Amino acid sequence: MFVSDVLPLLMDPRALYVEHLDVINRIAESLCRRNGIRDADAEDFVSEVRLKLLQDDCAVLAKFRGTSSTTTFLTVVISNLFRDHRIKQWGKWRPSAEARRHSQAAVLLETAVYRDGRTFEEACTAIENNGSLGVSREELRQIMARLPRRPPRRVMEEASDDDLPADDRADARVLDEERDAQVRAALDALQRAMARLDSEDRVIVRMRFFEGFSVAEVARALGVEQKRLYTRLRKILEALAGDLAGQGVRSESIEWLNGLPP
Amino acid sequence: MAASEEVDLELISAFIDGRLSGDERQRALRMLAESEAAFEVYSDAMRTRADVGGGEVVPIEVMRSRRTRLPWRTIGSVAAAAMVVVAVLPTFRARRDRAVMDATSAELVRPMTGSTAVRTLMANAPDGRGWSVTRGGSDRLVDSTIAFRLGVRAVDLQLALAQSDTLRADRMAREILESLNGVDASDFVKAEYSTLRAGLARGDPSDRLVAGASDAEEQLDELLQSFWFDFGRWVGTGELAARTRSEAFFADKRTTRFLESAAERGGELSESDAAVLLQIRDLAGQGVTGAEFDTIRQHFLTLIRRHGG
Repeated sequence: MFVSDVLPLLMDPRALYVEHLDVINRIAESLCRRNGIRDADAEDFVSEVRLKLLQDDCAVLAKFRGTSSTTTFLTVVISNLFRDHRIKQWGKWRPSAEARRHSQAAVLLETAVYRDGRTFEEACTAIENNGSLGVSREELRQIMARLPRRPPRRVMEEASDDDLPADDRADARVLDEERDAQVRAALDALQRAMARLDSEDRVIVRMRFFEGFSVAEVARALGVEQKRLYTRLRKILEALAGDLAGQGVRSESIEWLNGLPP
Repeated sequence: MAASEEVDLELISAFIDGRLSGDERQRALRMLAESEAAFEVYSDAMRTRADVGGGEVVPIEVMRSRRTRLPWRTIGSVAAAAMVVVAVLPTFRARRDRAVMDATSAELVRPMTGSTAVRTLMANAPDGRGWSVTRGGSDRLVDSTIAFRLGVRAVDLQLALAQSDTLRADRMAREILESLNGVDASDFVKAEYSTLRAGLARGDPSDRLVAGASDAEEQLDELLQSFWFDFGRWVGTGELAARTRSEAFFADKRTTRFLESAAERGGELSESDAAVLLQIRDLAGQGVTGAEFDTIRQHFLTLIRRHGG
């Protein structure tokens, strides 16, 4: 056992909080930065984190049994607080993994366009006005092209419908409905196929494909040999491919799943 | 606090720090596999931990910093990758035979990276192959040719990185990427080389770029699983070593082993290829000096022209 494991057990939770205040702030700020939360909103979240950790005589810290390093435990606790915060603020909406991996500008752009329903030009103007991000209109255009297409929120869908002539709108709606039905079916099939994998394989797929961790990162995180992980990934994909084909998933649906135009 | 109720935060923390085994580890994996909330917290915590670092000693290696990714890695990509892998895998597997030549480009070029001759060559010479992986050369490109060229270019890329020649490194990475457009199921690998190019553009530290190129090359090697890729790496390195008069390369036992085992292969290489390789081995075995470097270089160039187009 490490000294750092024993320390939290001996320390008063409040003292532990004070001791790690700098780390707590850095963790909260990092989460905000990577999720496109800035300025006053970021400060609010940092304050909220501190408040939650102090609540009920530091109940969260008091429960810590030292099964990990304190920093890791705090990182997990604050990540969980961030999830609560996000759901409270935005509901189920979450910046895509691609945007979060790319940059703060990508998260802000995606949020403005897909969550808030702004046009691309409006979003660019808002981001360009924030000089500290240092991105040009052309760079934003490139970022936008790389972001996965996301279904617009209801309010935006209605607004864009109004811009279409009535006949086109009806045709487009029928096509969209057909396409949505196929995408939903493909997604359901993928979920069923995933459910048939063992737990570690599912975690590997989620880390690698849903969150975009590199193979090296996945290997380190799960304590498996990187070289073997390549082969294992290929076998997992083979299993998924067979399962999807068995469920009658068409390649067309997969292209749509990818967010690419059919 | 709905999320807190359903997520065992201590279990996730212990899992991240690598302190679980047996049933407890399985329990953590089951939770991460089945609970969206748990996986989201885990994923965010992993990235945040890499971002923040932290002053405490943790028992597992700290992750590398976050890297940019391509948009294909969305949820659907797993399905897309799964659908194509079945079609191409048997072809690549059939070619897999890597008993001897498993050295990476980084390992191969390492003895030459401090050489003044290499620095001079990099500063003054063009790419020096007479072809690029995407343009010129033979008009009947086949899989073996692409794999061979990719092997040679993987060496060129590592050498450029070792010399901190980012412009050349970017050109090599771009060529590799363009060439991969013609290779099925290469999205994994393309993402790695695109990430490398983004790192070059950002001016990432040299060690990170070298590590990124090695990761990308490892994935490329896994994808191709081709004798020709390994052969391209060795032959590309050999030609560079001869051009820069690197005695150490030819005195290395691995070079002799490569030359002999490649020459003994049936199937992929012709008798004249084998003869060329054995001539190089004979010259290398005596300690290469003076004009012999030029002779060896010509032998390697013969192989490059023959197999690279």
